[in-house]
Amino acid sequence: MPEATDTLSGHRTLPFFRRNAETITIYMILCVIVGIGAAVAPRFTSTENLTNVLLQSVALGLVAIGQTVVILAGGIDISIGATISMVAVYSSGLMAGTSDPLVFVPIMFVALAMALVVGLVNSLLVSRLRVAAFIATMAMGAIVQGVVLLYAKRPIGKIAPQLSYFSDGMIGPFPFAVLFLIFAVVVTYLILRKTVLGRYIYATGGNERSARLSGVRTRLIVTFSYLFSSLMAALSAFFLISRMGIGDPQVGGMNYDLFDPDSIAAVLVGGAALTGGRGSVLGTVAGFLIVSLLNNIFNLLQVSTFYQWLIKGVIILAAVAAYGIQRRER
Amino acid sequence: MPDPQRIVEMRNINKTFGGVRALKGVSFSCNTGEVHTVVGQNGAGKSTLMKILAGDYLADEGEIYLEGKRVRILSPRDAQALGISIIHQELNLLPELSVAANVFLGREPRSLFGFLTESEMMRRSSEVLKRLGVDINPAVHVGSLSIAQQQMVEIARSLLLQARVVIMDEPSATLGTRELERLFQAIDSLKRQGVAIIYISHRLAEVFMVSDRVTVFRDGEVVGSRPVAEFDRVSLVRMMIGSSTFTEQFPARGASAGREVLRIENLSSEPVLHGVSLSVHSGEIVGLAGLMGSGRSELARAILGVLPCNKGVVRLNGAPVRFRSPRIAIARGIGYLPESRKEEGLVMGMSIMHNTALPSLRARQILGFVRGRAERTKVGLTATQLAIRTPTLLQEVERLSGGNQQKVAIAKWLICDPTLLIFDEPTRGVDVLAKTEIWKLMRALANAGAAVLMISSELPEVIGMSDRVVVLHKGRVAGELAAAQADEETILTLASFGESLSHAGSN
Repeated sequence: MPEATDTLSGHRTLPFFRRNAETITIYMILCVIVGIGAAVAPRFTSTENLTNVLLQSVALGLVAIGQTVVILAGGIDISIGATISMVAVYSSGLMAGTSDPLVFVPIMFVALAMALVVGLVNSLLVSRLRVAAFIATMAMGAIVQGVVLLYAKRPIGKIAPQLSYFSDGMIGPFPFAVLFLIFAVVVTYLILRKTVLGRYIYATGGNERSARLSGVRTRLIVTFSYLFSSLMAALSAFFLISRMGIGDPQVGGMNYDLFDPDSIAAVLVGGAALTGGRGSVLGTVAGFLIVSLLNNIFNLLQVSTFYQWLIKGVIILAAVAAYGIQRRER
Repeated sequence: MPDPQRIVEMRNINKTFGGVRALKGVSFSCNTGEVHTVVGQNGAGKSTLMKILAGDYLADEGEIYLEGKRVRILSPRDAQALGISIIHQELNLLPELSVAANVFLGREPRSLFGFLTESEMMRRSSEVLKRLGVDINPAVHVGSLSIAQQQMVEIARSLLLQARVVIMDEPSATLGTRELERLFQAIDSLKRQGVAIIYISHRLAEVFMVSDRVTVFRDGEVVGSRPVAEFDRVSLVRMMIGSSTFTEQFPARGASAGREVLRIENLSSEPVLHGVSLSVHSGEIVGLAGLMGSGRSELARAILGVLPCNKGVVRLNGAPVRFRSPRIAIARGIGYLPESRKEEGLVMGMSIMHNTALPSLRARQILGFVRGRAERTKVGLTATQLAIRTPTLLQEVERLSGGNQQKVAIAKWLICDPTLLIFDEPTRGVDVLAKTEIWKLMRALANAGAAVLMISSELPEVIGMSDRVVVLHKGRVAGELAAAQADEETILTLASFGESLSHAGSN
């Protein structure tokens, strides 16, 4: 055991690099991928392309942040994709039915409320009825997708023109959506690192029984995590309809093939443990940037989807295995 | 009594764990058709010896003979092949499979093409169960059976293995009276079939009901092995205790007790607690003794509101309380150190700092934000006070030694300034130095005015630390002893039999 006895000389803090070894590693990998991108695809480093990458990571980034909080608290959310589709079709569908230019605000609140109901039901299933998180959210995802298809089988509606600011607006040289994503990252970072709530999230995910016996209202914490994830899914949906101008019932991915696995992959690549209590939002940022960058590079190089999937899978496995080895060695 | 054939003999067994001699040249033997009970206090070495026989541990030195022939038992597989089977306290069954599938697990009969022959498994397992004198349908899931029935399934399993020696490790700890009778019937029928049974138990009353022969362990040695008829309750208890010399240093007792902090009146939580009453005063350490399953830990949980109560009142500083969750108990000044620090005491992947601060975070926040500097100062002070040995407080607790982990689990509550502390096994799995430090700390807390309720299986600890001892037996208070009356014999007798023996006398 590497324990020194220097209680009396005061407790040092670990050197920055050792304390953040995992996060630093993942950012180094991110840099390597950027380097490879620059080397193999000349257009990669152009300002438009990089802006484009960032814009493309907004939707995934938002839900990956939500997924991080759920996973840290010891759960998992695979109703995200369906929730995105639901918020997208209901808001665009309802917006199409009105000519009043300002009605889009209450409509967005209605859609957001629907998303929060999904999160609430998820958390009740998990924390009250003790259904395994994977099963509970998968079943909810199926139900929600059903509700979506009941309302629209194909892309419908139109978007209030004001809403397109979300995806197209610029503040100075920066796209509004990217700044919004950064804002969401900062807020989540502060919650997780600086607040009592954040501590409780880590404690609940790390060991629910210990946390409860230490006075943490673990069920409340679990509820918060699912509500937060649903909120992020709704924001992501607003961004997507703003960008596409229409509500697609499959925008979140059918058969769980888009936002659910990608968000989980981003969280895992970012170094979080699927068992909860370990990980960080900064790791997740690296995680979703890696996923987005790879997609971008593949597209620039016109790599077939077959290889895209294959390489994505290999990278997720490699990252998770690397963390496993690193942790066993310590 | 005729002397039947000797089936197992262990000679001169030595075993050391990290410098501690768990077995010091122990010899032990068992005959066919005999129930041989093994008793001794915690850490006396009885389980270690049985685990060596079952192949779970390897002896450092010594020989094992089976029917006079020298054998080597290097793994549980070897033991099984030799017809030695052990039934652990935690049963090893797959709850989702049928009784028959469990009985035959790993040795399923197969038809010509390698398919399982369900019907044959059903037929043969119901045959074995019948031989044990129990009525269990081999087709039902094991998960739907009672603990006692599951134990029967385990026994059936070892019968089918053609076991000639069956070791039962505290089979009765979780059984009720009726179930116990059924277990004894099954043991009886095994006996008649010539199986040797080695029965480990803490419940001395049962020892007299079931044994032919009793061997007593103490401090890694066999101190006596005789037919049960040559023992009575008093001589058995005395032999288990011996003239044990305390090597441990306990801190001196402090000032007299102050006002009453905790009072429990007639508290019941069926089926584990039946009308328990006790009180703890400020400045006092009350030891709560009792065997496993006597309701010690459950009492702590009932106080905290984790375990629901049917009857009775808990009073804190005179006012009746009924906590709905640990959070409220903490807010009212109760600190609870659970029995298992890994599962309940700590979040193993979190740092020392964050673990220590967890229960008191609410007191150090502004608008939901943790006051980082206040936290570092407070945790740093407490860590120094407890002499937690670590290079940094940002270290994850899973990387600390057991003693340091336990100190972190205690530090959590020190920060809260509790008026009542409930310590469940405060020094379990902790090195000697840390033990002494924890004892000193508990005494210092009491001297500073806290009321301390200490649950412990270690009799020397109970006697050395307590100002008063309450002994539980099967969910009831079997007796309450002042520090001067509390000796190992009295406590062990009360814990084992639920009553003091009139002819026990005094030493």
